[in-house]
This record gives sequence, structure tokens and C-alpha cells, in this order.
Amino acid sequence: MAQEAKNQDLPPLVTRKAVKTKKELDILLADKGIRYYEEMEVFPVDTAALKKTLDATCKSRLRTWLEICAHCSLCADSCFFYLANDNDPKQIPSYKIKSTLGELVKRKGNVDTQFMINCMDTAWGKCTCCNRCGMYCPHGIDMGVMFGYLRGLCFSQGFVPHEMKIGSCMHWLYNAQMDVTVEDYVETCEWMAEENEEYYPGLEIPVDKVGADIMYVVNAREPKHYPQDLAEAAILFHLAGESWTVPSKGWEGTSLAMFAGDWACCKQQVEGVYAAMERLKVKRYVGTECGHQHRATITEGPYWAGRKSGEPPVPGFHYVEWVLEALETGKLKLDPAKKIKEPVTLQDPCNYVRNHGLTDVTRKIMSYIAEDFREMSPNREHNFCCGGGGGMNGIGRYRKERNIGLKVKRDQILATEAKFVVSACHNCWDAIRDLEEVYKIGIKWSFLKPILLDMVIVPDHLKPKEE
Amino acid sequence: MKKSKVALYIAIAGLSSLFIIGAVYAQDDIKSLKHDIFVERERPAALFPHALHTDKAEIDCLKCHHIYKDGENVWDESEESDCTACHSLKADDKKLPAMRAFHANCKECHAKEDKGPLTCGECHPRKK
Amino acid sequence: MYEFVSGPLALISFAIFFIGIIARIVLYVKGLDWQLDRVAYSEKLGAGIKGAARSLFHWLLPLNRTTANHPIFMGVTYLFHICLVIAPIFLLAHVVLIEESWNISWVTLPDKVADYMTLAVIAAGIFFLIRRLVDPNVKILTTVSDYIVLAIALAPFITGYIAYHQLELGAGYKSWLIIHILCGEIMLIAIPFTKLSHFVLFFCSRIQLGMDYGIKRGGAKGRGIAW
Repeated sequence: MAQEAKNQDLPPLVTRKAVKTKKELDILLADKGIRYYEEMEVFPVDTAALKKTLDATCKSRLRTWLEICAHCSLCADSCFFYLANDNDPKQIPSYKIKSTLGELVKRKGNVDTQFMINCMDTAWGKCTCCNRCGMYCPHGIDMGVMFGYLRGLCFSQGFVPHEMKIGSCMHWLYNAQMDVTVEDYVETCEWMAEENEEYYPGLEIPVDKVGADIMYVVNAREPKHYPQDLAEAAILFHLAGESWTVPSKGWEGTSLAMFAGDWACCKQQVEGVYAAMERLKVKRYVGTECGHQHRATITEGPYWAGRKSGEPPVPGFHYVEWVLEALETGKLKLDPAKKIKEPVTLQDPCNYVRNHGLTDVTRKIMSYIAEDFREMSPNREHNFCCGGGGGMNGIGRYRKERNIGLKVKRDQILATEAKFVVSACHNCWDAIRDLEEVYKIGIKWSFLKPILLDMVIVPDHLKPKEE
Repeated sequence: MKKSKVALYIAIAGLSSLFIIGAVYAQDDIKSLKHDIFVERERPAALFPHALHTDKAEIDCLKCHHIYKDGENVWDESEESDCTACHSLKADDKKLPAMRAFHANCKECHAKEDKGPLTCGECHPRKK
Repeated sequence: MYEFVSGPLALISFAIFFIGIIARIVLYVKGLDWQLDRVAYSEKLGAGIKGAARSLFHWLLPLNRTTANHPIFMGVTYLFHICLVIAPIFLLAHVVLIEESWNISWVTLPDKVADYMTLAVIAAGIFFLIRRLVDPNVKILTTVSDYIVLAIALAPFITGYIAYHQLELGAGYKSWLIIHILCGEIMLIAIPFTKLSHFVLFFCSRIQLGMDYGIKRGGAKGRGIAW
């Protein structure tokens, strides 16, 4: 009784609108998801609004996919959740989408709270939107795309995992997935440049340098938790002699809003980055070693921003593309003697491999840095999701499901007999770290930057002067 | 007594001759459209009881048999009566190919008169 | 009865079929939205066409991973669809009827070949049916309409086989023939309105996804991904 009374005094946590104020964010953050999910259990569905959204946005592509699915089950073993859950038929992608979005469309949005909670638990807890199933469906039905759409519907009704709600709010407030302000970021840049200038004379992290060749955009985790990553990027650009800059406003390229299905927020987020491109008149964009950042800013972003060409204002590259270019043109020279001797394998991130075709770039990089490179099987666009994509790593409610899903990646890694995994993606990196924590298979994992920095030959004129 | 015996003999002779004539006639009657030009048959030759069409249905010969001169059918019994002598496997000139000629000739009439079969298997029955 | 089902009813069925599938294609294309689908269909048409062609090539031919992973099922599926489409279109009896009605014709199959193809369709259909009843993965997905659609697709072949071979089976040749024609017409009419619409929507969906990959998901970069 007392508890109920107390709850009634508090502002609601579950809302159909995105949270856009610091006050609301703080309440959400303080809750840790407990009251949040309790409220959700009784949160009503606005069926009229749902129907309206469906009518306006569920068009022929999605409806056709739902209609012509032959119920053949060929997508079953394309899904790592199906495999990790001992071939549970309830994990077949087709079943998952048919019982959620399929029903929702069939009932024209006339569904109840429990139905929507099931949609949420499926769209975020049983799918990482890795899009692998779409490659195995003879009818060309991409269930990952449909789950992305379903996430949007769920978000618009307030049925979204706690951390995703927070994620979208962060983007609304900070234009970043974490509470890092422009000032914080610029400060971190200055700090990192100062910290390393001693070892790399002339090193700088140029902020807002108009007319630079490259605009480098990061993931907020880097300034917030791993500022060394920013320093590494700066050093490598410096050694390669690049003309580069980081923007102040528009510095962050990730989009938890994309994982949350908050499309309005996606638009705001990516437009900030595009504005920076235009403001700084750069020749191209290079994003950090993040998978979903590339997808959000380069692949999907142009559409949210209403760019008919489907392209960002300047050509967009993933960090691995820049690395390969620097290695192939000799801008960066690695010491062959320092190549990794032990067996090493490579994680192909869905978001820029399956979803942007960068299938061979990372392999070519591996030939520069590894003596004994072992492919996972399957690999390239057929690779399995790390197990933590689509926001899954960050959602407490699905931790158990996530950890079960990791088994597929674990077994793939074990089969290579390599103890070292290269992962040029934050999400994959996290998933592999957690995989080691859960299953203890004795592996190491790394981004490319530290590896490259270990091996790079510093040109004489850039070496610190002996005193 | 003698008279009646003669009459009986006459009657027997008459009846038997009828049978013989019938038998002879039957041998001459055409039962199917088995033509040698159809080398590779997909179906058994079509049944075609000629007498049924001429004697019973009393269809004019010229309904089927034809040789056109100046738009007029000038066929008579002295002329060619093997359809495939003119209608070959493939279409030539203005003449229909044999199969179409047969199908058109039979089916159009059957449909028009609402008599006789129209379906494939009724004309081309499989031997049981 | 025969004249009715093979005459006006056939005409109506063909009309519904053709108008129906054209309508499905038109509605599909009209319902595409570059921004909602997040594919720059018209701005990057060239890359889109390349992607679409690649997608069709790899899936109309068994050059895809799904066939490699499931050779038996996909083999049966390819055989089923090839026979299901080829046999009725190039069956001598069908072509003869069309030629006599509309004066157009095309090459035909020897009846013997068409006969084996018909048996292949029926056998594949039974395989699908058993799979639906037995395989837990398929069972969980199966709805009543899946059985109905399978029945609609198989009925013309089963009854066609009976009619062609003039099997008695309680009804006699002429009845079976009429039933066969009716079954074919039911299938034609059902195509635009049921899951059988994948007759054309398969191509729409494959082309769309091929364009998606050709335009957005890597078509412009790397070696291109096939689906």
C-alpha cells in the first residue's frame, strides 16, 4: 500500500514520448529499471495511434514480406539465437516476426499491453537486427529490417527497454549516447594531445579545423571511458601525415536512438554530424572503430536526414577503410618483425560488413599485422553476430538471453584455435569481452588501433628530439 | 408344304445375305482417323465412326470433305478423300496443319450442333 | 458443363489472374518509399539494377548458401517450381486449346515428359506436406492457410494426371477433366489473392532486397554481396 502510494507521487517512467529533459533523465537513471518495468506491465496501448502509424508507415515492402513468407523454416539455422538455444523453434526468425509484427499488422494495431511487452522482449531480447536471416531467405525477406521497424512501433508506444529509453534521451540531450558535452569532449581532446605530445612532437587533435581532409568522428564511450583510444587515433593520423580534424558540435557518430527505434532522434543525431561536415568543409568523414556508428551515420543516416541520394554530405569511411588505405599507400608503415606471431582471428561486424559490404578490407589489414590469421567459419557477410549487437549488450533485462547467444561466437572462436580476436567494433569488442568473462575460454581481444600503434614505424622527423 | 419350305429357304438366304452385306459394309466403314503422317503420336488416334456421321446423322459429305476452287467446294466422291494428302503436319499455304484441321472440323461442328464429344479423352480414349 | 468451364470460366479466370498479378506488381512498386525503406531506388537506379540482377541470378539458380546448407529441400523446391511452371505452360493439350481459341501457340513438351513433371510436382508436394506435419521447425510456422495453398497448387496436377490417363476413380473421365479445369481455374484466381502471389511478389521482393544491397548495403563498396 505504502509502495503504491509512493509510486503514485512519482512522475511516470513509461511514456510514449521520448524523454528529452535532464530532470526526467535523472529519474530514469535512478530507477535502474525496476519501477520502469512494473509500470510497463499496466501501461495501456494507444491502439488508435498504433493503427495510424501502421497505416502510414507499414507499406508494401513489409506487408509483402509478411504475406509471402512460405513458412518454410529455412531461416531457422541462420539465426544465432536459434542455434544457441538448442534449435528452439520459438527462436526461428520467421516465427519471431510472425508472432509479433505479423500479428500486430493482422490485428491492425488492436493489441494489448502483454502483447506489446512480448513484442519488446522479442525485438530486443531475441534479435540483434544483424540481418543475417535476410541473406538465407529464398524470398528475400529481411526479418532484421522488420525487427528494426517493430522497435520503432514499440518505442512510439513506450514499450522499450529501460536502457534504450535512456539511450535515446542521451542523444536528445547531448547529441551523444552518453552524458558527454561538447566542452567535455573538446577538453578530452586537448588533454589527450597534451598527454602524448611528449612522445610524438607536434601531435595535436585539431578541433574544428575548417578545410581539413578528414573529419574524424568518435563513439562517446571513447572520450568517456577510453580516452586513450582518441589519443591512438590522433597519433596514427599524425604519423600518417593526414590533414584531419574533429568537430566540436557533431563530434559523436553513434546512435542508440537507432537501436531504440526513436527515428526522430536518429534524424536529429545524424543531422548534427552532417552539419559539422558542411561547417568544416572537409573532404571526407572517417568514423572510429564502431559498427553501428558507421551504419547510423553513413548507411542509414542519409535517409533519416532526408537526403535523396542516400549519401552523407561528404563520402563516409569506416576506420578500417582508412587504415587499409594508409597501409597500402605507405602513409603508415608497419614493422614486419612485429607482426603478431600467435594465431589470430577476426570478428566481422554485421553493421559494416553485412550492411555495408566491407568484406575484404579487414582481411587485407590482417595480412599486414598477423602471421597466422585464422578465419572464423562462416565469415565475411555470412558471419554470425557477436551476440551483443543491436543494443543487446546494454540491456539488463536480456542479459541471460545475451549470454546464451554468445555461445555461437564462443564456438566459432574456439574452432579457429586462435586466442586473440581482432574486433574493429565497440559492440563486438564488448560482446567478446563479456564472452570471456562468462565462458572463460582464455582469449584476448583488441581494437586495431593499439595493434597498429605497436607495430608502426615512426618516421625519423616525427621522433622526439634526443636531448 | 413345298411352298412353305421354299419360302423358308428364301428367308434364310435373305437373312444371311443381309449379314454378309452387313459384314462387308462394316469392313469398309472407317472407325478411326489413323493417319500415317502422325509418326510420333502423343495420343491414340481419334475415334471416328464414319457411318455414324453419314448414315445416322446424315451429314452432307461436303461438310467435311472439301476441295475449294474459287471459293466453292467442288469435292465429289471421285476426288481425294485422304485428308492428310492435302493437310500436312505443318501449316502450308492457307491450309491448316493436319491436327488443327481435324480438331477444327470435328470440334467446331460438335460444339455448334451440341452433339458429339468435345473433350480430349472422348475422341482419343486410352485402350483399357 | 465442359463448355462452360473451358470457355467463359477459363476466360474469367485468366482475366482475374492477369489483372490481379499486374495489380499486385503495381501496388507493390507504388508502396515502395525511398525514405521509409531507406533505399535510394531512383537516385541510384544503376547500382540498384545491378544488385537486383545479382540477387535474381543467385536465387533463380541454385547459387546461394541456403541451397548449399539445405540441398535436399532446396533441390526439391527448385524441381517443384520448375515443373509446376513449365509443365502446364508447355503441355500439348493446353497449347492446342489455346491455339484453337486465340490462334497463338508455342513449343510443346512431349506428353511423356510433361507426365513425369506432373508426377514430380505431386511427389514434391507430398514431401512438403510431410515436412509440414513432421518437422517441428515447420510445424510451429504452419497455419491452416499453408495447407489450403498447397492443396490449391497441387490439385490441378493430381486431377490433370487422372484426366490425362483417363482413370475411372469413381467419377469417370469427363468429370475428372471438368474437375481438373476447375482446379486450374481456382489456382489462377487464387494467385493474386493468396500466398501464391509470390508467383510475382517473389520477384518484387528479391529485386527490392537486391536493390537495397546494391544501393545501400555494400553495393558501392567491396565486391558486392549476393542476395
